[in-house]
Parts: sequence; C-alpha cells; structure tokens
Amino acid sequence: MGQVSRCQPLLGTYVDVSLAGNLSEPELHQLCHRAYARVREVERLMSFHDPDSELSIVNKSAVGEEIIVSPQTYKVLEFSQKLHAQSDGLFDPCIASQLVGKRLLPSPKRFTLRPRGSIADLELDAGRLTVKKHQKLWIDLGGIAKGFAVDQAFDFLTSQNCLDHVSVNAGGDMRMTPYSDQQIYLRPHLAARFNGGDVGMLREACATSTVGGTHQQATSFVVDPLKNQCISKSAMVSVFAHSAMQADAFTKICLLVAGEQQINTLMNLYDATYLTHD
Amino acid sequence: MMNRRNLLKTSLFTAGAWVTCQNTSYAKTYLTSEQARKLIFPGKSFKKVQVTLTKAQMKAIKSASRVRVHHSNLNAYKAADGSWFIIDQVYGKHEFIDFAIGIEPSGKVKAIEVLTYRESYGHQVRHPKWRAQLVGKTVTDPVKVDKDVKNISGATLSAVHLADGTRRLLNTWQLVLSSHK
Repeated sequence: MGQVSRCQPLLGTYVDVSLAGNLSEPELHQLCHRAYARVREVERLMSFHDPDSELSIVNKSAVGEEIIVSPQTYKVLEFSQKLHAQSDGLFDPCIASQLVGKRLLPSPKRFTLRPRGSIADLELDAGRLTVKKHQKLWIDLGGIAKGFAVDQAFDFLTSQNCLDHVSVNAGGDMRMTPYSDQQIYLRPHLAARFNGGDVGMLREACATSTVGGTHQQATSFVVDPLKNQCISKSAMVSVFAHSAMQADAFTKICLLVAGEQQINTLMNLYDATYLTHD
Repeated sequence: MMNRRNLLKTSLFTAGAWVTCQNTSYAKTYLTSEQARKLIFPGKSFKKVQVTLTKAQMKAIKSASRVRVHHSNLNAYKAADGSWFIIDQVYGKHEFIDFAIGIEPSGKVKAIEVLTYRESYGHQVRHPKWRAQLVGKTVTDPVKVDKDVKNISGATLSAVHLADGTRRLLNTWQLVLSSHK
C-alpha cells in the first residue's frame, strides 16, 4: 500500500494533503496534484484580495445587477445565507468593511464608502446561478471558504474510491476518513489559557478559531456582525462537523453566541459538536 | 552590569530553553528535494549551479523584494531550457520551513512544495503525550499518514513568510539568475 503526504502554501496558509491506498506513489501524487487544483480554484474564485476574483466581481457589482457565478461560489454564498438565517444573523460574511477598517483586508480601489449590507440582502437564483445585491455590501468569505476548499479537495479524493485514508488540513481546518480512531493535536492558545492537547476526532471534519492573542500567538479578529465590531474577549473553540465548511463557519458562531441554548440548537441541526477553551 | 552569577543563570536558562525547543519540535518531512524536483519538473534534467550573491546583489534583492537576504549561497539547479529549481528556507511559526520552488524560463512560479515543516512549542514541554509522539523523530523520518505526527488544529497558520521567501527568490531570479550563462 502506498502513501504520500504533500504540503503547499495556498489560501494564505499551509495545505497538507495525506493519502494512503492501494496505488503506486506516482498515482497518489497525481491525485494530490488534482486535489490541490481544486483548492487553487477556490482561492481563484473567492479571494477578497484578488481584484479579478469572482467574489471581487460580486463585491464591485452595482445594486440590482445580476452576476452569474460558478457553482462553487454559489454553494458557499447559499450556505452562508442559510446559516445567517439559522444563527439569527450571527454568521455574516458581509463584515469585510470592518476588516478593511482594521486593515486586515485591502481596501478595494474606487470605493470610499464602506457598505454595511448583510448576506440577507443578496438575492440568489439557483436555477441560473446568479446573484443580485439589494444593498451595497462587501463579502469576505475568509470565515468559510477555507473549509469549503478542504471539502472540495476531500470530496474529489474520496470519489476516486481507491483510497484507504484521506486527510486534508488547511492550516487547522481539516477533514479526514476514516476519522473515528484518529487523534488530533490542538495547538495551545495562551490568551485563552489553553495549553494544547490531544483530542479524538468526533466527526469527519474539524476547525478551530481563536480570538485574542499574546506575543506568541498573533492576535486574531472575529467581527460581531450584529454589533458591527470586533469581539474583545480571548477564546478558542474547535468544532467537529460533517463537512469542513460547516465546521469552519460554526467556529465563528460559537465565538459570538451568548447562550448555550442557541448554539446547541444549531449544532443539533447539523449533528455537529464543539469544544471551547476560554 | 550583569554579575557572574546572573550570567551563569542566564546561560543555563538559555541552554535549557534550547534543549526544551529541541524536545518539543514537530517536524514533518513531506518530500526530499529530489522528489520535489521530479514532481515540479517531471522528466527534466537539472544541473547544480554554484551561485554566490555579491553584497551588491543581496542589497538589490532586499530592496526589490522588501525581504532580508540572509545567505549569499543559493542551493540552485538549472535545466537546459532555463528553468530553475531552488531549495530554500523561511522562518515559520517558530522554526525554519524547508521548501522548493520551480521557476519557469519566463520567470513564472511553476510550483512550490514544502519539504519539511517544523513547529516548536517551548511551553509544551510538560505535555507528556505531545513529547511522546516526537521522541526519536528526525527530519529525515519517512511520513506515515496520521500515525506518525498528528494533524494539528488551532489558530490558522499564516504562510506569509513563505510568500515573502517566494518574492525574495523571484527577485533573485529577476536580478541574477535570468541572466546566468
């Protein structure tokens, strides 16, 4: 049985793809190559930084203008909108204005006014794969697209039906099969006074998000879309879900949610679970 | 001024910290340089080229890339068609990351592959499970999928240093390698 492991810098982080199966090493490397192509495609379509990306075209489009998007971008926007409704507005990728204000994202040229529309102001047409803004808004898919990219690579690899082990890890957002006997290591987060440690994989996918930081751990930000500001507490949360896109997005909601009841309802809806360290 | 006792204390602490870092370094080797070269440029033969940057060249590369150039010697290989394959290092979260870059004759990046990823947890020395999985590991150990070193989750790692390293090498190509005979 052959096995290979590769790591490439993509999506602003390190993307690790590990495979094992009854194939030769060149065949496994070829599968890795094709999996990375899917990650690169997500990066190309959904980058806020790239002024020519599909996402940037949507961001720059006028209110009322219909834009045809790829099935991938459509899927992420559709899930974002669904989650926005299910989380009572706590998940909203239209927080790019605040991130631009904090200089965490580059300011799109030609735009001086920072729009404050929400993802609910986006009209989606599944039949024609079009999106139309009803308000000016800037979308940043940084809180969900990494997980989606992991899913894209993972789904491609598992669809080959010839691999015994598949693992895709984009800087901590990961998905693997089989997962039930696998342990992962959660990196310490000093601001949340979490010393790090091993945990078993509870679902196929896992993602971790942190806020707050110290000199050893760069400060990270999560914007509360309802209050329109960055949250100030220090916390760390890991979510286990059936897809990396869900896990990635749920971490943001877990960091923002006030009561356990609301998050548990959402988690039950998706058969997901979470660990907090704060 | 530091007296002798304090100096000794400091030295011991520094040595201890160094040993601690050694004990708690995570290292995952993905590819050898030879494997990376074959994956980036299949079927193409390369020759090792001795490239030593002059101080003026290092300064010019730093100025163009806005990244400091630490080493004057390049670990570089050239193909007959003008493709370059370079092995280099950048500083990652706490440790160096070895990587390979393939540059096409036009100066475009063909691919980047991480060869060895290292991360250290100086404050993790008391975590026995973490230490246990690192005992006996060297950077040359073969990768065993998820049985060797565990997947790590946490605050998303930034690959900004690798992006800086790439920009430095692309400027090195522009200013030095593209005109290499």
